[in-house]
Amino acid sequence: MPTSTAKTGAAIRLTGVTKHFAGSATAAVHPTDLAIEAGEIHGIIGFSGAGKSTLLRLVNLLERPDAGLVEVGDDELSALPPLALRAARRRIGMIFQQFNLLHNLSVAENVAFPLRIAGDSPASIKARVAECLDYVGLSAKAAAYPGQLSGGQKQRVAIARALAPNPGVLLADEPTSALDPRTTQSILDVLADINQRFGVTVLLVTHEMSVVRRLCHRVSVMDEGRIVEQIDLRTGFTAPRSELARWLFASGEASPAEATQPATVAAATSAPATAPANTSAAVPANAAARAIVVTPANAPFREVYHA
Amino acid sequence: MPHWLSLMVDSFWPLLYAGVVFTVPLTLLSFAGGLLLGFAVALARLFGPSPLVKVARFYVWFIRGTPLLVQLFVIFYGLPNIGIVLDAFPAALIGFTLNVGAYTSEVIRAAIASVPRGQWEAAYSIGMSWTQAMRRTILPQATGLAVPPLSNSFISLIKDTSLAAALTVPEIFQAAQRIASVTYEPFILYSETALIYLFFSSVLSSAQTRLEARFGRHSSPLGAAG
Repeated sequence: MPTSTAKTGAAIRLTGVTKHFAGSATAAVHPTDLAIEAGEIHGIIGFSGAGKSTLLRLVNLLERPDAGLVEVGDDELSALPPLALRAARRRIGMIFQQFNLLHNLSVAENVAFPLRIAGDSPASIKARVAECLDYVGLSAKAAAYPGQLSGGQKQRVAIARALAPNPGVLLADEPTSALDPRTTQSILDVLADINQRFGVTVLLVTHEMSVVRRLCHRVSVMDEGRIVEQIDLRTGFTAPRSELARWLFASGEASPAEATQPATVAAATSAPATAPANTSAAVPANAAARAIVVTPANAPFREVYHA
Repeated sequence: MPHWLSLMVDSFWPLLYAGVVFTVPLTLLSFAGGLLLGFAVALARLFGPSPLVKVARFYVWFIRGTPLLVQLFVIFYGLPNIGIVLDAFPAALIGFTLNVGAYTSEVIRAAIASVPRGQWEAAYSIGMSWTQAMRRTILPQATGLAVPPLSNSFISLIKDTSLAAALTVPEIFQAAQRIASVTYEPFILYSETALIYLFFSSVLSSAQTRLEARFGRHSSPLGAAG
């Protein structure tokens, strides 16, 4: 089982980071500040081209910011020399939409790779790989190659690989966008569990409001390279202020995929919804504890998050 | 034994000898050199600073745009005019190496460039350096992609070494010409020569199948995401 490495204070802090790709008319990321609390699951949502994946890549410096500070934990990444940066990256796990397993390596070798790069002993690598594969339920596939796995299995391997070095932070770039709804749910469950059990801070990019609703504590809404709004989903339903956030929240409503947890459904007779107090005990120890509230008029579902 | 058959048998050993002593070494050495050169040129074009990129592009443009036979003539017959005198075999080796380098650099460049960007990102995100990512992630995958087109270059090269006959290298074709000039049986001699090239290219290229099996083992046919 991976062990917890939770830290206190802001786990990720971006200060005035900007990114402008050569040849592009506008900046991909305008000067942006973002602080992610330790232990938080933070979503970044927006349309394609909003700059959310670029913003995520600025956190582990896969993209170098043109300006600004990138701090993760106690490290100011943007100031680190290459060797120290590589060491710091080992404390930041990352998973991708297209999984990005190393095709030429087996499942076990993929999970072992970050440990081998770090110079761990063969015995400890072997034990850790077994532990991580067991955690994601893929011990039986240790010898398989990525090409032989389903999308959901690949993402589980990617998660195991990201977890292997015991990161304090996990970056997730559209981790479920290539997956079907059921597989999506299982991956979101794993991410929530990683956060709960090991205290890993998760920064997740998505264009799916349902993912945000099911997983995130807070969400930053991004548009044209700027964070236009931040919404805390734990403090009850606060009305989105920006037009984009309103649109996203509205379009995310009444999604059938979200209405599949009868245990948490509570009949409410009046909107706006507030979570009935007794549901919090019934909700499993999930980072994004939630209740689905049925509003009276032809009962569209709306999820309400509470701490 | 009919005349044509005894002629073939008599000339078989000289031709085979020329192949083993000159054609095969020339092919293997210039291909190995060409691969190294092609790899360096591919890296220069993909990752090098702008002046190096320009030099690499000029080289590829020049070599691909001029006939191999002319290149060989410049090296062997032309260079002595400016004080550089080379023996026939080294001159041929240099010419073929330069030629193979230009063509294979394009193959290698395309293969490296077609490894998905996500593989780099994954490698970097788990703490690899550029060199580690290249050596342990990108190149193994690029190799799988490059083997079939490189095999093509290799088979072409085996046959192209016959051009070295024009530089007085006593390889298969030059041996055939010499025998034909005294026996006056060009049809038989050159047909036999063709068969001997076929033999050498079959033997040498049988390695392709094994290489493909080795490097293509885990790659999905459409390069699907993994």
